[in-house]
Amino acid sequence: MSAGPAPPRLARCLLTLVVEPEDRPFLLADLEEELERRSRLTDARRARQWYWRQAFGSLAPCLARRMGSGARHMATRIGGGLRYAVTDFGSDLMYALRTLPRSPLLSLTTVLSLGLGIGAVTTAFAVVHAILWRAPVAIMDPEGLAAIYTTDPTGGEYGPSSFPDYLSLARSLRGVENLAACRLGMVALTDPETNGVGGRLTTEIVTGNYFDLLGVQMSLGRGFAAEETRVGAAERVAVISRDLWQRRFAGDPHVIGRPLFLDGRRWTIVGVAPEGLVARFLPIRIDVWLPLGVPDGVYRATPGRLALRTERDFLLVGRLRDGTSPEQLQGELGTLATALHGEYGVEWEDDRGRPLHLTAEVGKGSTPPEGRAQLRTVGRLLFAGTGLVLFLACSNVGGLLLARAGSRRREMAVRLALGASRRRLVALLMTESALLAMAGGGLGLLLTRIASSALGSLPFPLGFALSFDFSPDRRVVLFVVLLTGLTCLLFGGLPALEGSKPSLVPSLKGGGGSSGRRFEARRLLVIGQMAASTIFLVLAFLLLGSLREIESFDLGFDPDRVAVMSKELPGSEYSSAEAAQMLEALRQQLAAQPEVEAAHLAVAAEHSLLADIHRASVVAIDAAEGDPMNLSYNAVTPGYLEMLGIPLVRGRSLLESDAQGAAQVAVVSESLVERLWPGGEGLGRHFVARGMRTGEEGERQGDRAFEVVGVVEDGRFGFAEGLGGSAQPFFWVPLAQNPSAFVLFEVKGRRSAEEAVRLLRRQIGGVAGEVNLILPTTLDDLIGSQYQLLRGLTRIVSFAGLFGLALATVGVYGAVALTVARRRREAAIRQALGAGPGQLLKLVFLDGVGLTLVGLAVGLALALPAGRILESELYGSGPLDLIVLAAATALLLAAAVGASLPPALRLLRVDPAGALRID
Amino acid sequence: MSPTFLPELELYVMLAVSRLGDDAYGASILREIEERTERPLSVGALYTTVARLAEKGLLRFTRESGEAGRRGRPRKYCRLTPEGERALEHSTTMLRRMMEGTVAARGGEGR
Repeated sequence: MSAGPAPPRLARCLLTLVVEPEDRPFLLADLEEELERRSRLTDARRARQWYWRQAFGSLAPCLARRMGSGARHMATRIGGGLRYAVTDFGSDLMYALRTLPRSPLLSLTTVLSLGLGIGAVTTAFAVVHAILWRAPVAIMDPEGLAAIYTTDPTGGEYGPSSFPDYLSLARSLRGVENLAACRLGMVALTDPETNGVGGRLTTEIVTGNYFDLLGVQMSLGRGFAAEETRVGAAERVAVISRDLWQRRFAGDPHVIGRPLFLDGRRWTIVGVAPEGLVARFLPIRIDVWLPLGVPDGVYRATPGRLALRTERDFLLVGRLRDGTSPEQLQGELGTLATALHGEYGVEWEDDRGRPLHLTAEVGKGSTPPEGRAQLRTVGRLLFAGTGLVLFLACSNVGGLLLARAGSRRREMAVRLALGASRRRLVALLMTESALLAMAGGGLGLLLTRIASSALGSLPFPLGFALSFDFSPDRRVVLFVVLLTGLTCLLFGGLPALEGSKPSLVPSLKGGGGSSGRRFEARRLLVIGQMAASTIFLVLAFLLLGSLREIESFDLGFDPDRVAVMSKELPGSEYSSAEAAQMLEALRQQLAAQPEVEAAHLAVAAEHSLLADIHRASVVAIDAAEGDPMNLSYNAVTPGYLEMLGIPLVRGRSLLESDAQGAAQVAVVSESLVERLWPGGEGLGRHFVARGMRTGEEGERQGDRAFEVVGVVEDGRFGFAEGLGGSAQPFFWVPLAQNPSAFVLFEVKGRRSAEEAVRLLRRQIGGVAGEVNLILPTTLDDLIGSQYQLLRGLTRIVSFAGLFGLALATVGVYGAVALTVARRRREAAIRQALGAGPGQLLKLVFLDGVGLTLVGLAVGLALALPAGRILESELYGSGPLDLIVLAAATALLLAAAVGASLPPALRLLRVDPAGALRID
Repeated sequence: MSPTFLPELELYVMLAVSRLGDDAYGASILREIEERTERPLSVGALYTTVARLAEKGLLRFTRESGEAGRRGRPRKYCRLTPEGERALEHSTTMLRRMMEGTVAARGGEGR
């Protein structure tokens, strides 16, 4: 079966816009069917032409239907009025097209500033829109889909569900027609000959009914069949993304049936997904979809783990049954949750022993509500920030146009004198602004495209290959159009109104007669620019503070010369004892290399996102009753703490003798002792941890007790805690007593980390059949990669601050220069009457500084709350202190003084006789 | 309510729906009318007409989601309501009566 010809995208887009939403899917499907038939009968080109004719032919009837018949009468009446407007508009446009190139610098600056501003706001819109509001592409009736969540062990409302729970729900839930499960994963693309890794792919592992339930129509081939995904008996079949199809198979139409090697195994391609299909719960680009339940599993979805009710990895989606209300569904879920708790007891409780519950979200987009709330906050910040950039651009352009209006006062006066109405003049000036705005809008859209694709593939911490689909769609285009219109009014309105009403006589006479209000408008703009750049500068200083802190603070351990990579041995091939043996053999092999100082195994890397995967809820056994603390831990081989230089305060470190069968021991950080046994030493005391991932399948465990044998100095071992504040508790346990199929190899080189990285790649990279979650890298880079986002943000905000400052400086210069020009005569008279240079300078100098001070005050008043939001929402660091405020203030004042000085000095050089003689 | 006269395009659509029976949906109606009249018809006009007929109570719809057999394309099937049948009957009868003995009536067969 071959893919039908794709409908012309633009024509399809046009139709989507005009067709009644209710009819849209049917009409488009009809056209597609006919397109396919016609391209079989004639040829693809003619069929596409037919499609275009259909699109154009459908415009009028569809629009007429949507507007209703009453609107048609209106249209004819407006049409009459329009005909006159159009001729005027035409001549205005021609005039604008002729005049704008005559001041190329002005036009270019305007278009660039507007483009930057519009591009920034639109990019923010595109990102928020893609995640929060965009209707998913290639999915039938997304409004009828219901997401089902289980509470997570720490009490969060919207957590994933386990596979046995999925089966229970799929069996008994009446409120949905069909229920599917999915999860994200990573697989390595391998070369069948060498078993070398050729890159990582993002995968969504799904149940067989997934595509049918969503109503996804494959571009090529088919989706999965329900019977293909029986656990333990599923076929190795794969659906690839359109992108992977183009990239790796060059769009081969006969790709169906060809093999694909993932994690060293052969899969057969059965389908190519439609363009734009992304992961179910976030717009993440997926490279390949794999069925759940292949015999030895894929990425953590191994048959062993699938059998565990406590392994909650899956997101569930169903289609609401006709006639069932979301409330009915929720009610049914409540009953089911109670029944499940009754049946499975402790397996259905959170870390505090409360029963879990189930929550349904119907037709509210695909991102879980908690994520949506966070995104809304980020979205608000993005809009505020980018809106400020656009405001800066508008005020700058407005200032330029005002200045131009000043120089064109004579032209306008002549037009008025010749009988042009004020309305015509405003229209003429607005036409020019509209032209500039449109060019700016076009540039903005272009910048949005570039920026959103760059943002979509930001380097992820740990080098994950996740990328988001933020590509602009028609709503984004519509947004740009509206924004451009608004912008045009904002920056063009004032200059047009001011420029079109000069007092005739002085203007025609050629005098400088300036109206007071125009001057006021300029001053307001300067104040606005100063305020906006103050905000950006304060924020930039804050972020720079955070960055400096990250780069300078004491981690509490020494990542120098250490390289790291991950390894996971598939549970289906190795028993846990075999896996432990094999990993230990590999470790010893590494340790024996001449360039290696030490080689160790761990399940997490301190102060990385990986430290967050391994978390447990901890309570002291022999202390007063307290709430459990949820914190990170690591399981390591003896000598690991020494390799990282984590200093022991009392007791002992982990030893070879802490083997399986011996007493369960742990080394803890000082703050953990402080929290569990305030004032105590901690040694010899016991605590209980729940939820450690140390089972055969790496599953969460119930309560396990540990004896504290050693205490180390505090450090930044966890990651979720953020940068600021006090050190968070952490503990280490022996890997031998807490085995894991997933480990990190951490190797300290004698000379450099890079040497160790090369060694890891050579020695461990070739071991086949497992997932390389973290490719060999230095520990420094692994930790540093997590701050790339902060670095990027700092760079952008600093740039916006400096850009704003530059604009504001020019603004101050302009304002002062204008004052100087206006008060030349006054200055000359004062000078003639014997005023000194100091008095003359004060006349204008205070003007510029005064504007700056007002702008600064407004800016600081706004920057304080903005800074506090940044402080609390993003990174717990970079205090909003006097130093930051003083630095921003000093920078702005310096700029203002610098900008006022040249025009003010010019005033001193005024020759009184000459200045008085001019008029 | 006594049946009203149907405008030309509405009449064509009703006739096509009547002829296609269980298989009357967007693409098939479009084909039917285009092949018989040899006149291009836009899908937008068709949907607008169909919606108008439904508002008059002459047609009703059943919506079907996609099936594997037709690449998951959804379809909106049309069917005449009893009232629609009556209106069609009425209009065609009137048309036949008006045509009786005119040039138009012979032209149909003469070509």
